[in-house]
Amino acid sequence: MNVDEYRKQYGERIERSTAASKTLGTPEARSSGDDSSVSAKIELLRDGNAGLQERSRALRELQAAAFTGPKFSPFQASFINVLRGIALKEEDPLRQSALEYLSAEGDPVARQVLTEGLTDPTKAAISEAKAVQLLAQDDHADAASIAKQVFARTSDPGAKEEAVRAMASDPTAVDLLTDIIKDQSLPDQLRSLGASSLRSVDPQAFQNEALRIIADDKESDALKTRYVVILDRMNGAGALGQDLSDTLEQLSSSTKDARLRKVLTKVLQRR
Amino acid sequence: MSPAPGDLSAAVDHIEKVRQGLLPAQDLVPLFAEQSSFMHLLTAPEIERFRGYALSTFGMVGLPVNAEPIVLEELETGTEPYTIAAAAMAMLGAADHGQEAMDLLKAARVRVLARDVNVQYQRFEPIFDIASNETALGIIDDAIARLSSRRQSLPMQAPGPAAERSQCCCCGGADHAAPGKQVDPGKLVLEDQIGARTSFGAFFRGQIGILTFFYTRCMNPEKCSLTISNLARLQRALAEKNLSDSVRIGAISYDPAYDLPHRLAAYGRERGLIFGEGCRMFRSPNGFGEVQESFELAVGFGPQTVNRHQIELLLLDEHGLPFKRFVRMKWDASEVLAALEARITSGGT
Repeated sequence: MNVDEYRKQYGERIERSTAASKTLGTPEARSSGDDSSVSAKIELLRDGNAGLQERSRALRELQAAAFTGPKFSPFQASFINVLRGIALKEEDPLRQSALEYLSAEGDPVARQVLTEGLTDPTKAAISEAKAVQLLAQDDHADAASIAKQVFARTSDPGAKEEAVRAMASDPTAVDLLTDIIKDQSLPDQLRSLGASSLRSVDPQAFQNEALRIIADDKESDALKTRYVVILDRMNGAGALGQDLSDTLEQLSSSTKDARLRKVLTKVLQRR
Repeated sequence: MSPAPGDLSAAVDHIEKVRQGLLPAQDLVPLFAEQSSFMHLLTAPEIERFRGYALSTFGMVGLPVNAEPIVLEELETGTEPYTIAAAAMAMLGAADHGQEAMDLLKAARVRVLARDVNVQYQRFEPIFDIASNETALGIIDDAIARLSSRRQSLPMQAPGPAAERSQCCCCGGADHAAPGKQVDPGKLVLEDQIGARTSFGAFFRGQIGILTFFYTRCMNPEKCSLTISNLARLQRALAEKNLSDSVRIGAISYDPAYDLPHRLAAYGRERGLIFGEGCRMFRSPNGFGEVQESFELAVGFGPQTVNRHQIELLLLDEHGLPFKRFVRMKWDASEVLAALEARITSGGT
């Protein structure tokens, strides 16, 4: 998923949550009795025969209500219980939503469902990409080693991207991430994610790779521009090493790409 | 016989035998030690699951005295409702309990309120029984009610588990102040929050010191994050008493491969620590094994990072060796300060 798409989805989620929160807070909802209203919504969510639209709305409203803190406490366990039931049900269309919520809560049932699905794809509850993304929310759940397995076996570009993202918290992934950056046959997006993850686990290794890319004639100008900006930010104004300075000077005099030249000029002026 | 490293099913078999009366409850206690070989390479969630199941067993067969600190620790700093409720069950297996234990139980109840879940302890698997209505909160409330009525019926109150709260489960509270035998901590290589390298001896020797342990990926707000925040408070208290120049402050990460200097700096700064020559955060670039060995630390490691650790704060003498340890339970800054002042006043004797 790219950043724009993620922002759009995130914005929509916030909007839905705000709207649901307002619904629960209306005088009508209050006069009907919050407790019975929440219980009814939990029952509706549990009912697999109810309409999907109604159940989805109940889920959104319950998620919003769960933010109200102590008021929701009496319903917390039954809400989680229903979500766990949905997460375990193969045919439930709300399975992914339930797993998303439970994963954010660090729920062991969600973790088990996701791990099983990733180690045995015949048991997969949701897409590999989504499962890796959700599992990687917790560094203590061994997501990074599972991510490496997924990266090696999957042909799904989205799953590969999520696997590389998950490696951002795995210091043992340095060699694999370095290989990903070096591999010019891989999509730019994947290599960039690899670079971002490498920067997280080993900034020095990242700088070495970035320098190599900037100096490599076979790499695209767009990629070089990205790395020049990142290296500049990492080093701070005026703190560029001599190797980097020399490489940038050389590139500045040879590149025909206007955007790259502009960035290089700015960076070198700040030295 | 201890289960092999990472052999969760053998450990669960152990618990089942205790439940069936084939083994004494006492046999479970060593399995709780964070550094035990059995815990090695288990994930943190697997350990939570094991601990919860084992703790609930104490509620059924009785709580051994040297397991009481484990229960109190869980009530004080646990975050998983499944394990906290199991600790509440374990309290019911204690011969008696003190007021502090009851206070911890009530405080734990507050932490569970917003995260309540259905639980079952009849079997290790599955994690929960969809048909069961038993909740973590319900179990805790039941334990509070039963323990309260039990206390009211007692004519005199014994000190209870809180008296042994800082004891070690692996040795029943033996003195851990002596350093490890195999590694001289003075030679340990450390890298600080700005990437400068030094040795443990160069930083800690010649003055008394405070040494604590943490890691930036710790998910438990009651442990590492609070430890470093409290360390910052302790630093301010030392400054108010004009003792800043007399005491070295150091915090070493359990997770040196991930906790690079920039992460150490951000973590300490965000929690109010003021870095300087006498106050630094460290990682051990050669790995954590030698540090753990030198100070016999209660920490275990999973496939990716730390899987479980105790709270550990050591007061070091002028030779860099521990003369007092605050372990397992949250430490009180005033108590640490008093111990330091006493040491300074006595001139290191």
